[in-house]
Amino acid sequence: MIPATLTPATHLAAFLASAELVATTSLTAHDSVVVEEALERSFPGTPSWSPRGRYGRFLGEATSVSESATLQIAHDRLVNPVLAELASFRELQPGWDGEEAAKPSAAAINEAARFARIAGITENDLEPTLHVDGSVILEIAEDIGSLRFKGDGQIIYALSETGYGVVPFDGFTIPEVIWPALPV
Amino acid sequence: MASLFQKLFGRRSLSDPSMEDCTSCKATFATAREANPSSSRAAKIDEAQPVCRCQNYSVSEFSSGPVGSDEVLIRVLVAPQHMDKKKGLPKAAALSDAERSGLSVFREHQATDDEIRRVAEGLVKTARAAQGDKAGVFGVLRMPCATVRACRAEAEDTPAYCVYDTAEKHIPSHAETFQRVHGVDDGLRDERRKLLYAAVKSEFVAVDKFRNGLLADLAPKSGSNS
Repeated sequence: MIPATLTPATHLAAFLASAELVATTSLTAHDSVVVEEALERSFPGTPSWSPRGRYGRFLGEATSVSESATLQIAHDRLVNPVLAELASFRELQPGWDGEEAAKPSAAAINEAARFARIAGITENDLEPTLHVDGSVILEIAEDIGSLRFKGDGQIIYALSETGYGVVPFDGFTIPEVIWPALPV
Repeated sequence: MASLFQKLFGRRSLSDPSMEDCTSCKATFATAREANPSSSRAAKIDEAQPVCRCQNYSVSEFSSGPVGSDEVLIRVLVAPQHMDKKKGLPKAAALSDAERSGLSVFREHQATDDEIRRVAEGLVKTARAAQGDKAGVFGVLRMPCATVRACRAEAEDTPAYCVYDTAEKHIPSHAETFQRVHGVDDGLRDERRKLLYAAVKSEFVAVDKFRNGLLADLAPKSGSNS
């Protein structure tokens, strides 16, 4: 059940505001580089706006929810340097490495940006970079390891503390295996 | 005395150099060169010649011979996305070509200034066409061949990377490093990249320090390195 004071709409509004997202109708929006992302989700389990305990575990009852929204991002207005750099990847063309690198995947950029937002960590802790296949990598400071996003709903991780592998990523919850690697 | 393998199959064992093996390796690389898409080269080579089997043979008619483990390889870096601006060092992702079409490198002791200069100009031209003047030569990553060949993840008992002498007609010192990716999942690929990077990152040479500033004028234009 969704708490009466925290409806899906208010949660989503807060999420959008905190994520430095810019609507094209905004008076302050730059019209140079605006990218659009359709954000949709529907799931049978507990919604992410339910109360959470340690490490983001849900405390609320399960329910069934779906929602959608359009996100529009102008990267030159982004204050967070990590999000700004991720958004700048959209402008790259094939061959950006001087050889045969693929154009970065828009879906991968979106996933990496969602991770950076919900992790709430800064440019001192995460370094965005690119695999030549077009997937997006967030390198964690102090050589702790890397998280790679291909835009397929998964995170490929290689971390000093927890080893390596692939875990599902819904865009809203940080997988438990990744928590120990994130800066406190 | 002929081995049982020779008696049965009429050839020497796979670990012995032979004309057949050499021909087979050259054929594999010739086929891989035409691979479409080129991004599948690393997988095709690993599938056809597993466990770096062709490292002992020359795979190019333009080569002076297989790459020795005592050689040093140099990789020219032109993408700002592969540089950590705060540390002034490359990022591990700069090695990701080894999982795809092959990580092109020079054999340091063979590469002439002219060769390096010509290739670097081509890289910069391509990169700037794709992303503007913020691309340019940041420096080179020196990688001891023995270090590359020794790299492997903790549970692995075979090498993760191979180095081949893929010389080209106008770039005789050209070589390539490939990660052995056939049948390997993404997690292990990323782990290997992390390990190789950790082993070579200290060998980065900034562009102004490399060969008396040979490529200094190809550095990213001032103020465009965002």
